[in-house]
Amino acid sequence: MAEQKGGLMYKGHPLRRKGNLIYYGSMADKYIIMIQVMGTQQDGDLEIASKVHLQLQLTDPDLKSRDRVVKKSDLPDLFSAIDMGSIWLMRALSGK
Amino acid sequence: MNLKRSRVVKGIVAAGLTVALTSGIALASIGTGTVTASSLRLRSEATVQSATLAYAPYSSQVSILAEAADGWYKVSYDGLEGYMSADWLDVELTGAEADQEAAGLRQGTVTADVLNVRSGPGTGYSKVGSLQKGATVSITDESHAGWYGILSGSVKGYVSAEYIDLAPAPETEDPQPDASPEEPPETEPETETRQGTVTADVLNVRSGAGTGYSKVGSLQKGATVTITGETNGWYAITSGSIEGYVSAEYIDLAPLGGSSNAPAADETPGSDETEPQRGMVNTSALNVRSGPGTGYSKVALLSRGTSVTITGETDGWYAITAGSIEGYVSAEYITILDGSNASDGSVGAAAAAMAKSLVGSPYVYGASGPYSFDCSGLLYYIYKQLGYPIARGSSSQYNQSGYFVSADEIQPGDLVFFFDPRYDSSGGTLPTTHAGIYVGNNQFVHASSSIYGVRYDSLFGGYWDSYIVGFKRIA
Repeated sequence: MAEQKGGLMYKGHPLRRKGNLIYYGSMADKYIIMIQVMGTQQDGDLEIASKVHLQLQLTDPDLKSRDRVVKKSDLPDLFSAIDMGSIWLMRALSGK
Repeated sequence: MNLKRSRVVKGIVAAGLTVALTSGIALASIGTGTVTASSLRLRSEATVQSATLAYAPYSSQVSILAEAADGWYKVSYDGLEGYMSADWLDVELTGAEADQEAAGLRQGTVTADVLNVRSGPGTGYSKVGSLQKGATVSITDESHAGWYGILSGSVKGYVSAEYIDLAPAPETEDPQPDASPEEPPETEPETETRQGTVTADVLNVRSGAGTGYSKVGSLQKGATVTITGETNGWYAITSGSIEGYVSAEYIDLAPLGGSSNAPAADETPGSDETEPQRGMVNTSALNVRSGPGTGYSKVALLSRGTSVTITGETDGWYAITAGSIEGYVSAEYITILDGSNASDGSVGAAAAAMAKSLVGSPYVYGASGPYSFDCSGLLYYIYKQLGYPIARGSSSQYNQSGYFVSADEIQPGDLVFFFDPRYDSSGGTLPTTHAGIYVGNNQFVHASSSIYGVRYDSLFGGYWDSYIVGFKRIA
């Protein structure tokens, strides 16, 4: 991942985290990825995500939040979630 | 019921269960399993509602007796026979030796839509599997009236003879001596030697020509052996200090001409020598002939999914070797695993090509080929055929086999894993509920269901991409 002033970038899209919510992508685009850490487990002295909820969302502000969800999934770790999320976002933004 | 009488009754019931489970025809082991759970129950039946007979701790070894339906194995553990869940066993089936047994046996075809395979010759024996209509079986036992002992892939047991259509008995069970003039004559094994290479990851070396002989050693993949004789599909070999017998199925013979004692290879005039390719039989039963044409005599029969090495091509016929079998087969019934169907000849490309050739096969829960599959059984079968054994259950494959790759790096042959909570019976303790194999162009092949069988589906942008949990590459 490249680090720019103002935040992290991953494959050309920004990553923003607040607590257990991570947004991947930009509100200026039509779609954005929301990742929510639902559960964690201890791995040595680290607490790592063990259950992660992933959503592809529309960014249209006129839509109600529940109508923004295009699709969703549950994944076993953060890497898988960001990996899948990046594919979903790339495909959605390219119109597939 | 007072306490003493209750204990007596429980003892009688336990003894009865033990007798019931150990009575009847004892099944030979078809492989070994290693427990991957912290503690795995041995149950009296293939259902979670049945009684627990014992607990096998992590890394315990169990003997696999049969593949039962519905994701269970019949096993032997600590002197008891029962059933264990396939999802918590890392299974290594000795299918090589089972396949070796089938060579030379009488063949038959299932005529019923679904035929039960039982542990003994009668309806009173437990069901250990099932076979679909059209499945080919090898007849291992004809001594029980109305029942055949059969072997079909890794399924071994007894079926009603009423539903088996027997093939005419082959004229010969061994290749004709003059079909392979470069093979050493059986009467002079000591004077003709040939080199070969081990193709299995680990190949047992035995004290005699059969699985009933004790193991005297093992050879790793790629090891060179000197073949000093051949008996019924087994080679007498030496390799360094090891001397014994190995299954010919897992020896790749070196071309003649590398050995100073052997004549140069030239099977028939006019055959085109090409770089050896690998192929797979894509029809239920394929004749191997002594020459490139239907006018030549049959020397062997190969079943669907059998891997062959193609050593030449003449007028629509391939010169092939498959273990100890050499001859010619119609090219129409061979799917090339490297070359035209694979852009780079890699293992993954070969796996994808094999998966595509199996599209249309029926789905049977608990089956791992060669004619029917469940989701993880399809992947298990494909990579086993390619010499890369992987775990049996989808969660075990996810946890243990290969290495993870990211979604934007997937290549043909990569395993795709899914988790759909609607089909999760583990309470969320297992990471997957389904698996398939990526074949390129956003398509994957999977053993979908009993309705759709093995089929193509889109990976991203359709129903399945909401359930993807990861991708793994085997080689």
